[in-house]
Amino acid sequence: MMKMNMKALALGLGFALVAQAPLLAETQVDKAIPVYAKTSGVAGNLNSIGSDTLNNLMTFWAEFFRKAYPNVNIQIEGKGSSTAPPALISGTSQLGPMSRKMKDKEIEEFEKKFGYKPTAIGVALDSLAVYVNKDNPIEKLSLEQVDAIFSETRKREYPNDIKTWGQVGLKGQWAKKPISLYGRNSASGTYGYFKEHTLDKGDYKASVKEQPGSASVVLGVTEELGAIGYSGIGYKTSGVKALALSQKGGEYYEPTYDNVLAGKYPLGRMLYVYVAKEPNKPMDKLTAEFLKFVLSKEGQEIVIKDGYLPMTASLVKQQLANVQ
Amino acid sequence: MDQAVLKRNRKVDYWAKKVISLGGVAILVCVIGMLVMLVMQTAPLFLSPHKKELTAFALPNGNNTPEAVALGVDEYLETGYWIDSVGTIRFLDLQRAVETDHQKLFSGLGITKMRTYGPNSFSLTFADGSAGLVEVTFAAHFDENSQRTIEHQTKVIRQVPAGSFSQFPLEVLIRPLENNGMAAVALLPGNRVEVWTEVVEENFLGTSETHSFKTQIQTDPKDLVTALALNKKGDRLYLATQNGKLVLWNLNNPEEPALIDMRTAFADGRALTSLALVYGDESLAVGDEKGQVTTWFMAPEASGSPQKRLTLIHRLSSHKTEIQSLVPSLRNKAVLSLAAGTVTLDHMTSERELIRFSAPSPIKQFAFSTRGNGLLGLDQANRLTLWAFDAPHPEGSWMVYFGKVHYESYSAPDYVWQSSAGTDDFEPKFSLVPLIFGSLKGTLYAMLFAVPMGIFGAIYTNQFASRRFQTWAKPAVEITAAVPSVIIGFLAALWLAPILDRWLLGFFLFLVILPSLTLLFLVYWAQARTNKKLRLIEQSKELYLALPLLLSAVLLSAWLQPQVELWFFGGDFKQWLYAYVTKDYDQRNSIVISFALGFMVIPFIFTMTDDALSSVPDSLRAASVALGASRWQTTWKVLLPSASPGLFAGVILGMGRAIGETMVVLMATGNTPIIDISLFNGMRTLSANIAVEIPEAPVDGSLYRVLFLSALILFGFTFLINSIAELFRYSLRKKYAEF
Repeated sequence: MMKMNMKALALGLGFALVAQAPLLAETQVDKAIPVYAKTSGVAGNLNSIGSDTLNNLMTFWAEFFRKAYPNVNIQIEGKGSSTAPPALISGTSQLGPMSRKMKDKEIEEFEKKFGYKPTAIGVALDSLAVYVNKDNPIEKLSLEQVDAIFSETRKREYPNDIKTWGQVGLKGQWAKKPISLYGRNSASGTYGYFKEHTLDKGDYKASVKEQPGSASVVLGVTEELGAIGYSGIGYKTSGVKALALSQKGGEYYEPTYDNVLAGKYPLGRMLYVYVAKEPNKPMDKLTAEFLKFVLSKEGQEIVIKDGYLPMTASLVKQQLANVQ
Repeated sequence: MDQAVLKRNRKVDYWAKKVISLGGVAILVCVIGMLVMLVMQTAPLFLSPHKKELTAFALPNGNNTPEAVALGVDEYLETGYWIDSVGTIRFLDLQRAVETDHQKLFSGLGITKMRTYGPNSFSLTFADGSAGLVEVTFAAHFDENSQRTIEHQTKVIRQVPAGSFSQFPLEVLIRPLENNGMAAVALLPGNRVEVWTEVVEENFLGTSETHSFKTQIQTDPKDLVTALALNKKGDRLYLATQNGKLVLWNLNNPEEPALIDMRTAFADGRALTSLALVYGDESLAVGDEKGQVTTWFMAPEASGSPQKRLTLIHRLSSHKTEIQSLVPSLRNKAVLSLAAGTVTLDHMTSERELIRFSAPSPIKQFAFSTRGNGLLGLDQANRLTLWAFDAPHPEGSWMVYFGKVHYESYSAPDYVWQSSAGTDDFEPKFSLVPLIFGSLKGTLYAMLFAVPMGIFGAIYTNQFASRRFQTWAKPAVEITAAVPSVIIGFLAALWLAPILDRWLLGFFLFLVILPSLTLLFLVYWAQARTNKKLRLIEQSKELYLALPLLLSAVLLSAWLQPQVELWFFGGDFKQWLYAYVTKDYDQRNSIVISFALGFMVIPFIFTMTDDALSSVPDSLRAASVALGASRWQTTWKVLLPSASPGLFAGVILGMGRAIGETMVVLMATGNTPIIDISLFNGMRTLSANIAVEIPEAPVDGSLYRVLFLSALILFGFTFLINSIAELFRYSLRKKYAEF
């Protein structure tokens, strides 16, 4: 009951977002990525269960894919990356979108069932962004500060716990304003990714408000002046501001496409779709065609439209090799 | 009456009775079935792990070849291997007990020392003074028929050339760094320790520059170094000594190692014999000469002090003799220890001894499988034995669920719920205390709002309001019970929480203004009611007076908020709260929960109270009125005492509803697992926690079962509460059975 509602809400917000996507309006798909070539005999059912970060993107891909192949039926559920492996293992889904890599334990479980390891196909790039309310004067933070804001353990060794905006240099009425923390629930790959790469495998504070979806995180930050939260760049709205980040005392970088490609923005990552592909055997045709579509010019244009970052031609080539 | 009709009635009665009893029994069976299911899902958490001997055979060629210095096994427990002292690695098919392959490592130099960092990774020190890091990997391959074959590969990851150190090393530890760099720590004769670091810097032109550094680590010449441990990043070096000293060096700057901490581990100064880094490189496992295994990490000495020192955190198994060897699991926080032929496997967090056994002949070498699911041991008689371990839920124990645990990197022991992460080397934190606390806190605040509203509302509707009001008020309240909780939760989170955040001070003002305004009005009314026409309002039309009163209290509070904020709180109430009351003010706080959850509960209390009042026999009421008691006196002195069991039942039933409610708390709180009764922050309840985490929990995994354990606790709570409510109702029914 709730799932349906949340999904509908997330979807609604997602559609609203596509219209805006202001940050990346000028990003173009790499011209070397080929146009999708339609084939015949593609029909059947596809189920996708997994990442919430990729939820809107999967929905758009499915929609456009269905335009090419009307006999294809695709269902998409996005409650968090950690729901992808169990669904792939139990056979309830053919596609497992994940915003992080599978853990060794998950791969092991998969292998127990299938006898071989799952195949990860990179489908888009993302710059995991740290958001604050649009009226917040702060422009940039170091990862060490972000760690001290979110983490109980402070593995990046910032000298003290940060609880107010004054501690990161804001003045006046902001100086004493407490920082209100928003984050994702633990099923989320973004939760795991942020924990590993920002908190340096430390623990979140118990006071981080866990939201069931990326849209709720952004909404929470929009509604509360002193709030800070994190989620994929595709969920950015006009109500929030994505901060520039620095690492180890280096320069600050905005979460832009160029900075992610150059590896300068510290939280750039690849988003994956996991599939069960038997070694030495061709992938199921429907799944393969879907992934080829995703990795085509059209598929990557949708990535831009949804606010995420497209793959480069060389990355697409690498990933397509895994599809064949 | 017509015999046929009577007969038909009896028949209908008979069948109705059967069907109803069947329904009742079915419900009972369902509830019991649910309980059994919960218990069955939870029980494996508490089963003790066990081991099974899979195979045992004499080492092929064991007696004709040089001695084994290292042993290994693949993750499928199918292929084993051993490295002998002249540097030959020999692979064995464990099922068939035959040697399948052998190859020479490093052109067959003699091996003087072997160190392992977890399974299948060895630092080997050779007779010519060189050293190498060798990794054995196994890859599953599939042929056309999808048959699995396991291929092994031996890779030399890094090599330290002979003469890199100022003397012939006794023992070398090597860790690879990025771009083909490495860090190597050598124990040299004369109790000297040297660090050799190779840093490779790559520039954009694709050329690389190599810088080598060699530095000495200070040691006490009289205090023999007995064990070394180097973390994966190669920047933390741990030393253990004969005199019981534990030393930690920071190798971040390859030119200048810095001493982080040096301390005598135990007060009795016992010698330390063995070191290993627990998976994740955060905790250090230490074995000593008295056979005790302990784990340590950097933590504040006293709570709140900024100074961190190596601190004893967990005490694991103890053996009778000195610990010869410690090996960490590469799947969880378990540590395997070997002392005088006895092997034990302990889990660090839960401090549970998972497995303990001694082989018939003392084990001299052993290998732990990568998945932590098996052990290959070589005993004095050159026999190989393969054991499979089955310890599916090592991280749980009563202490973990209900006690304070000192988790890695935390400054003090605490109750923590943080069940998962995106990495394997995470220490799961399964304390149910914050969740139980959250459930009780949410219920408490919901009841604070719902009990007075429900009970007084029902009393007014039942005893004071006009018939017309009654006829629509009761169904209207009952209909609110049908509003899906997800909608209430949604409204509370996205509509009510921001409003309350904006009007927080106004809310508190309202709590003061409404009663005082009412009091003032009553004083005025005592005068006004002398007017007979005005007094007619008291005939069930009080609502028309109360509503404007309520409205004016709301408006007055809203109007006063900015003024009061300016006069008393320096213009910002929340800043003031933050400075003087609580540091953890949160928009999704218990006030929001109080309203939202209370709103869910009110219909229960209202209906039960109303029913209880109605079930008080009219004769009592009539008698009271006939004796000249006013309506209020009748209600307060006659009806309420008689109906009190029903009231209690309603309250308790509402409590049962509140404690189990999921969607409202899931959406309207931040699901923050904190232990703080404060009105100004949220909570994470048992039920919301299950809803949030069950989709990601791998079936039959530890998290899955812990969630079932919390479900069992929740079931216990609601069962207990509902039974109490039923008892009250029963007593009410019994009391008035005579009327």
